[in-house]
Formats: sequence, structure tokens, C-alpha cells
Amino acid sequence: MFSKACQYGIKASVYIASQSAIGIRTSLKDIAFNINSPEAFTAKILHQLAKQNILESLKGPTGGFEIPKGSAESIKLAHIVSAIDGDSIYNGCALGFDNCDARQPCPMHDKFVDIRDNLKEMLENTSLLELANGVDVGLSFLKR
Amino acid sequence: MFSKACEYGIRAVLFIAKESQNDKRPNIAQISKAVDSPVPFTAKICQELARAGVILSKKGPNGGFYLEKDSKLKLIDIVAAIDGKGIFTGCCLGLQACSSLHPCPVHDQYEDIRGNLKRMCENTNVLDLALDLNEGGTFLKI
Repeated sequence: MFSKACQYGIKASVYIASQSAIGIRTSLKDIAFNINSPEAFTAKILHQLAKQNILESLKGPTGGFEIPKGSAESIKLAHIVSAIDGDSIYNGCALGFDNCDARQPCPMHDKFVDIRDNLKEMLENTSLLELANGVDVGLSFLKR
Repeated sequence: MFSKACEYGIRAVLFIAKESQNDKRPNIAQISKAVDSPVPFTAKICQELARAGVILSKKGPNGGFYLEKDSKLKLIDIVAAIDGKGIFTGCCLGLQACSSLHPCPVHDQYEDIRGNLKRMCENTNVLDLALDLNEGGTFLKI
């Protein structure tokens, strides 16, 4: 459903937000270790997320990656997904046609629209804060 | 959502199903042309689908790919043959051991989506989609 980059992007954001909630700025190394991702690939993804203002990257001895609590509340999964995978998951055709729409639908169009809308609604209503909270209290996991 | 191979595979099977209703057995060249897919890739996918028993093939001058006219084939049969069932069971964040006992952060939210997708694929008859195509309400080349 999501690309590998997007999966790492979501996990990294959740991890950073969960650390920020307890006042810790995390390093690339720490993130890669805790979400079990390759460092170089993770660096690239974090850069992309920083550019879209999903996370903050602070330089210097006390620097690191951070997602303040207020931001974590307003950042939804949808923001992370579209920052990395783009909007095709919302608008794309199930059979990969460029111009599929209700007026000229592919055979799957009507059935797929429902699935796509469900997914969109879920991504738009799930905040980074609630995901990070789950990890913080040990209800959910970022590894294995 | 589906892999490129799966997208082409669904398109191909729907075209084959539609043609079968009209007593025709299209070959690879005709399928590729009708569903706008590259010939070698289409050949590989159709072979795979035939081997999995999703579509039937007949050799000889009047040969080609076809489905029984009363085929009970479901969309999920095509998807499972090409992408596997991982799309309906896999973790959305790629964790190997994600489950309700050891969930990833998005597990609960994603379970609904995954369930809906699976139900849709299980309940969709390829023949029904082919009939829509025959009636001209939907398209395989856009």
C-alpha cells in the first residue's frame, strides 16, 4: 500500500514525536536503530520530511530531530504519506490509468472509490500525536 | 495499491473475460493492444495467470486465452496469483511480526481498510466487471 520510503517515514516520525514528548531530540543513528531502518535511506527520508515542515532538524551539540507536541497533534498521517508517496494513493486509479474518473471509469472505479475514500479518511483523521502516545505507553511497537 | 504487474493482470483478465463472452480467445498481441500494456510483460503475466489456473489457454490456430462463460472467478483470485495475499495480511509499516498482540502504531486503524479491500476483492465477480465492459459503461483503455 505504502512505499518502503513511506513506511520508514511514518515510523521515523512516530519515533521522533514519541521522543520529543519526553523532551529528547533524537539523532539519525538513534532513529535508524529504533525503527530498524538503513541509515543512509533514513537520512534521505528525514530530509524530505524536514523540507515539508513535518519535523524540525536542529544543528549543534544539543541538536537533533524534533517534532514538538503541538505539531504532532496537527500533523496527520496524510501529511507524511503525501510528503513521500505523493497524492496518487488518493487519486490514483486501481488499474493504473492516468485519466480514469466517474465519467470515463475503469471497470474497478466504483468499487475502488470507496476503499480509497476510507483510506483517505483514516489518514486524515489519525494524528501523529496519538500514534506516538501508543508507542510511549508501550501499546504499540516500531520494531520487529 | 496493487503492483504494476497486478494492474496489468487485472486489465488483461477483464479483457479476456469480455472476449470470452463473445466466443473469442484473444492472443497476447490483442490483449496488450486492448489494455494498453507492454507485450513482453503482458506475456509473462498471462503465463503466470494461466499456470495459476486463473485463466485458461488453448493452443493452435484458433488458440488464445479464455475464461469459461460461467466463470466464478473473483478479483481476489487475480490479485492473489500475482501480488500474493500479503496485501490483505501484511503490516502497513512493513513489520514482520505485527499483530493485535504486538501491533505497529497504525495497526488498528489499518485493519479496517485492509478488511474492506479484502472483502471488495472477494465479492467482486470478474464476470460482472466483464459484462459492464461489454455494455460500454466502463473502459480498459483511457
